[in-house]
Amino acid sequence: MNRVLAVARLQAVGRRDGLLWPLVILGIAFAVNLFVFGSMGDEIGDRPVTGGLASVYITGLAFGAVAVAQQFPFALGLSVTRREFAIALGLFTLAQTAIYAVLLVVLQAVEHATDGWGLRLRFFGLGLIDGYGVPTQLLIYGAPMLLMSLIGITLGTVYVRWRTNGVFGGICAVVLVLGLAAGLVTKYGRWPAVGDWLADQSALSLFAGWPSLVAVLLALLSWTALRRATP
Amino acid sequence: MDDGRPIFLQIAAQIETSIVDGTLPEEAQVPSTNELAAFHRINPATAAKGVNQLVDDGVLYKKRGIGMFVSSGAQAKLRQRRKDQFGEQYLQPLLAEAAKLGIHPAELKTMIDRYLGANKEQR
Amino acid sequence: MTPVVSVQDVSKRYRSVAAVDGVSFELLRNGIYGLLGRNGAGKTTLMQLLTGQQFATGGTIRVFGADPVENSQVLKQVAFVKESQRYPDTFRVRNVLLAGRLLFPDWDEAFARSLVADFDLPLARPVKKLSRGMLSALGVVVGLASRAPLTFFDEPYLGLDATSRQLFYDRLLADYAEFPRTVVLSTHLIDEVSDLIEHVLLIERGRIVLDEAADTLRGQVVTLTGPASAVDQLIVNTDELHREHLGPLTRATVRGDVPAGRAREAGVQLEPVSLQQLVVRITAREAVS
Repeated sequence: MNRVLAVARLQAVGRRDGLLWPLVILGIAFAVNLFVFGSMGDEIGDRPVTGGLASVYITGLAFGAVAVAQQFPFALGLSVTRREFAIALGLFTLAQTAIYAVLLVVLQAVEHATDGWGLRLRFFGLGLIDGYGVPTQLLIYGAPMLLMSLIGITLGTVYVRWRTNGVFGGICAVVLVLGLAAGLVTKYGRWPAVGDWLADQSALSLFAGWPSLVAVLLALLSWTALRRATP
Repeated sequence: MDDGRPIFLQIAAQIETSIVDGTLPEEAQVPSTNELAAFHRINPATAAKGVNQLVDDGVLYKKRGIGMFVSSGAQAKLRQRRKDQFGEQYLQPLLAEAAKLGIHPAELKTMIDRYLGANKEQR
Repeated sequence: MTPVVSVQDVSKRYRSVAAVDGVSFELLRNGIYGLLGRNGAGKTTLMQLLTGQQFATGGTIRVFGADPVENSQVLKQVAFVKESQRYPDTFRVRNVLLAGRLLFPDWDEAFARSLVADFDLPLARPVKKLSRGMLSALGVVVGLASRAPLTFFDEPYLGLDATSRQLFYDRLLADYAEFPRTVVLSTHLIDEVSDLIEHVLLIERGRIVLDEAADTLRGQVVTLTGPASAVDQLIVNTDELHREHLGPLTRATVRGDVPAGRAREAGVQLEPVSLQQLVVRITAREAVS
């Protein structure tokens, strides 16, 4: 367990610069939004949603990939086992997800309480979570972050196991499967049914349930690739 | 250090030489194997092997917990041994070379006397 | 005494190529081993197998009595310093030292700091901004300060100048004398380490072609220079490794006992052969056969 915690700590060391940048980007996006909407004054329509939040989730993906591609060969070079590395990475990813979820829920609450930073601006908030309690809000902010991290980690493990060809092959396969699925849905005219299914989902299952399920599947896939990978 | 012989033999020979020429007097402490290893940049195990050979030979003896020392009588013993080997090591090649060059034994003796004389004058 | 490493009939095949081909040997506790061989002979693959970084295609590997693959109890006693070691982009020299401290139970932080000073390594510099020589020095620092009971150095000297290499050998010897362990040096600079290593493992085309104590080898291989007939008579009971001619003179490199007295009488000059020459001769012959 000692070694697992040590490797998780090294992940944190490697991410220190990485933790800072998403927050800087988020801060800049937020400042720009404040400035733009502040200068527009009364011309603002009803409570705009800006989408600046997406930058945080994108960095989750990028750093997931880096965490494997760079830390895996380093860790194995220092006599860490694949299992220790994987458990440490899992712990680190969960901790990181929790930190972001708490941060975003707090900022969202502040935004709510200040009526959109006094500008009726909606930067951190998502309209659909307003009715939920804090634990559910944490899940709704956290699960997509977890999913993005796992997508990155999966890309990273495919890279360390099968290198660049594996990554592009994998992306091609995913695009092919999704394209085929979309084609089939179109061919049989089932888009309305898909729309209905989505509309029937609660925000909790759409933003927390399904992303978590996919994240777990990706975690299993990553471990399968990693356990026979070589540095 | 390298004359092609196993290194432990070279280490042993070097210590012997120091004893023969008096640099290492009898009952003096010999450098430790780690000191020898660091000085000659060789493996400590190899240095130990060289020293142990001298212990087996009775040239050195161990004081438990202190180190290695030169046995009394070691100098005389080693001198005698080197004298015994002198013929094979130095005279034989000398004679072989002389024969190759056609230097007659009598001529060789004169040459030796002449060099001995020259060396005396230098002193 | 149980060996630290025991390898039996181990192979590693990549499709049709056998990088390591039915290798068997043992490494004993507390010794400095030289793992020698040409580029592509299989040295690095062999060390990757011993450290669980690669998976063997066949055979049995025991390190400290157990299979090293995914075995934390074994691997934390093993350090593997390799020329191609990769570091995370954001890591600085001091982060790498932290990793060593966290992951190697026998790590000596004071020793690591003194080595960092010896090699003039800037603690705050990102690893990816280090020169080739500094990168090698960092590997050497980690390998030495780990004090791992089994330490591999795989050509750790790339970009290191002669002074820094000597520093490495000196620090290795001094620390080894104080804290004996099993060290495997894989190197091409055989002359530089020939006095350090106690035992030679020579690998050629994935096979061990020599597994011998260094001191035994020293006495065994000589070069004879003299008239061809005289040389031929002297080497009848030896293993001839190499032969050259210059007019009536023959120079033969042989492994085995050559009577020095008879050689002198026959006007044949006997010369010792350096470990490097010996390795060159043996690998050249293996490559032909």
